[in-house]
Amino acid sequence: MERAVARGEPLREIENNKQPTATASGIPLRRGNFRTLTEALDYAAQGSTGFNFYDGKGELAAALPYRELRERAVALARRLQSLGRGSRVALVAHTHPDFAVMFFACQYAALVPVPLAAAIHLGGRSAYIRHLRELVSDCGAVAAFAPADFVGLLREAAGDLPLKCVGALEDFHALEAHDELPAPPRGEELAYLQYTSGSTRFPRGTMITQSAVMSNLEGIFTHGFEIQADDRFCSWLPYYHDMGLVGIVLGCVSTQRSVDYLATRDFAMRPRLWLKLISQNRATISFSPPFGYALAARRVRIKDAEALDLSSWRVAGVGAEMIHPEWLRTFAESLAPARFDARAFLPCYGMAECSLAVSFAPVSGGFAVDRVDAERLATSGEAVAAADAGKTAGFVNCGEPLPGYEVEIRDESGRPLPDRRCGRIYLRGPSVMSGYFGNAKATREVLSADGWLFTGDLGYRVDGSLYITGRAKDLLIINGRNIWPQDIEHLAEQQPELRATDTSAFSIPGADGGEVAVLVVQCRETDAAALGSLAERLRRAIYAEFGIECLIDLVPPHTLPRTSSGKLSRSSARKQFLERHRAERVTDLPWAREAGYAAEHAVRSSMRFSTHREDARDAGLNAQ
Amino acid sequence: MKDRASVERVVREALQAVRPEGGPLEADAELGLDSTQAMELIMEIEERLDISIPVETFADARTFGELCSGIERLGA
Repeated sequence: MERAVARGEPLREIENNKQPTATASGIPLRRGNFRTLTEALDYAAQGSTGFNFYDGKGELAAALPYRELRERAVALARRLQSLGRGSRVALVAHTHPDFAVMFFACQYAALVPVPLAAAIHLGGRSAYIRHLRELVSDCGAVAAFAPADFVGLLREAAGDLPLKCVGALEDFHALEAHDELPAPPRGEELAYLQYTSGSTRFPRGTMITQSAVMSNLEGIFTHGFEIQADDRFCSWLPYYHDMGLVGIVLGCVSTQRSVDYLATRDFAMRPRLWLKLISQNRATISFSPPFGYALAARRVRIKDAEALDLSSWRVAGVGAEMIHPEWLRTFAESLAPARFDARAFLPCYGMAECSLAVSFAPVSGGFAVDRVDAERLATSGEAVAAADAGKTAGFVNCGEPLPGYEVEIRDESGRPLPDRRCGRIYLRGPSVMSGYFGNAKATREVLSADGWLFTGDLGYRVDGSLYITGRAKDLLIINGRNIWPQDIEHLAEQQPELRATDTSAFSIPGADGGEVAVLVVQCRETDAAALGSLAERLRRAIYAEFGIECLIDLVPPHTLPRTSSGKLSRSSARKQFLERHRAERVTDLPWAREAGYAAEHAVRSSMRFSTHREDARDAGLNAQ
Repeated sequence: MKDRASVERVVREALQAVRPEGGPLEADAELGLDSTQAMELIMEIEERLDISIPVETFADARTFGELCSGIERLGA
């Protein structure tokens, strides 16, 4: 049946290996202390652990022991090496054994795999094809691979791009095999490229060397949370996300752990399956962004919870976006009947620009919230305890940075700030990226010549522990997905009525604590019907491209605030938007959830056009 | 069993389950669901028809009519 996998057939048709791999590896535990990923897999292949793939019904579709993964990756690597050492190979990162084989085949062939998103929204075919094509071009890939489900989409995306091979695993098996493998990758060679911004306007592929990723993995599994010989992972995290790829796929190989995978799409449809798998296979470690816990909690009924046993789950990692304590509390309460222990929550902080992780909260400590005076934080940047009746803001302790990192919180002029002062987070260390591939300008913006990385995040420190308070960079994170405002604005400005710099995109807090996308559009039109039509076209275009509902706010010309140098300021636009709509209790409206809200809002917006004009006059004055 | 009429009926029921406030749908009406609702919709349809909807069918389904056509083709 191995042939069936090699041919890239859908998971449900695979009938081999009906048993998941064991939790115990049978070899001495090594916690990521390898020089390269191939050394890590060479070692793991001596044991009996591996990857297990579960389908949408929660049944084991395929098991891929590390021994077999290595054999197949090495065999394929002999065929890949003609692609040229150091060349990029684009991989559509769908959760599937073929992806793992291909990723490690690239390692043995000293090629640089580039995992690309395998996420499509309803009706999003053309947006996805365009996205794939742009990233395949951006990384200068010489070949592109996709598991069977995505191969049609990949072929369409690749079109006439000059690639040496495009297709599923079988297409790569048709390449000519060499007798010998090339020399193994060296520490300073790239292990992979990871796109942190899937932005089509500003793609940013982080270049991560073998030594950078191995340094991070060793830090995570020795200092972040010490991995044990009886640990077992369970994961639905996408393979194109740093937490899913580095933390789980590479992390499990580097610690010889077995892992039970659920495809992200199957989790999104049936989040209960995630918990069922943990319960059934006695997993001890599973990570998720906060929204994953929120989604699971929403779908779990009392009787589901009672049928589960989550007492084995000792590390419930949480990261990748701002942590909302309320979501975690709700999850813990919903799953208390399943013996889920809230102390298992392990908040962490990191980003693809430093391979994966920067810091972890103390293990078994749960999430600790620091409550500070919201007013003083907003006005002076001080994160200090609130006065008795004052309004407070709570931030989660993300723990101390892993050894090897230097961290500084700096003010806007670059001066380091003391404890409990909020500023921009900078860090330096051995797992920081080499830069963004083919993008020296973007690299210079975040990485200094002496190795300091600007994380784009805001936060403060207390006794060495990090607290993240927000983002300094303009970015929307909706249901765990990064969306760059430039992409929304560019799309909007394709409408005939609009010109460049007529729009500003940002996010505001939604009713459930998540983010809601907002697009402020200034236009000369005053006719209510024409405005309604514009708002509806914008809403549809954004939905088609990004699969999100976006609130459209139409305003008269010269409303959008500019900086002293004449550039549009999204943060000021956002502030003005919130002030304009304060009377409506913006943050209390369940906008994102209500179907049809945007069309209705567009009409309301245009009806209120006259009042906006007053604001516009003020704003215009302020901006001059 | 998967003729056009029964597919449409099932998709309507599934939409109703995901978004109870939604009204009747014309064939060219956009589904207009957020990402979470879209996944719930697919699950509801999969469970009602006992099928698995491939990613390409999902990717091509911008409107109610396109989704129904995609599902109808799976049954062929």
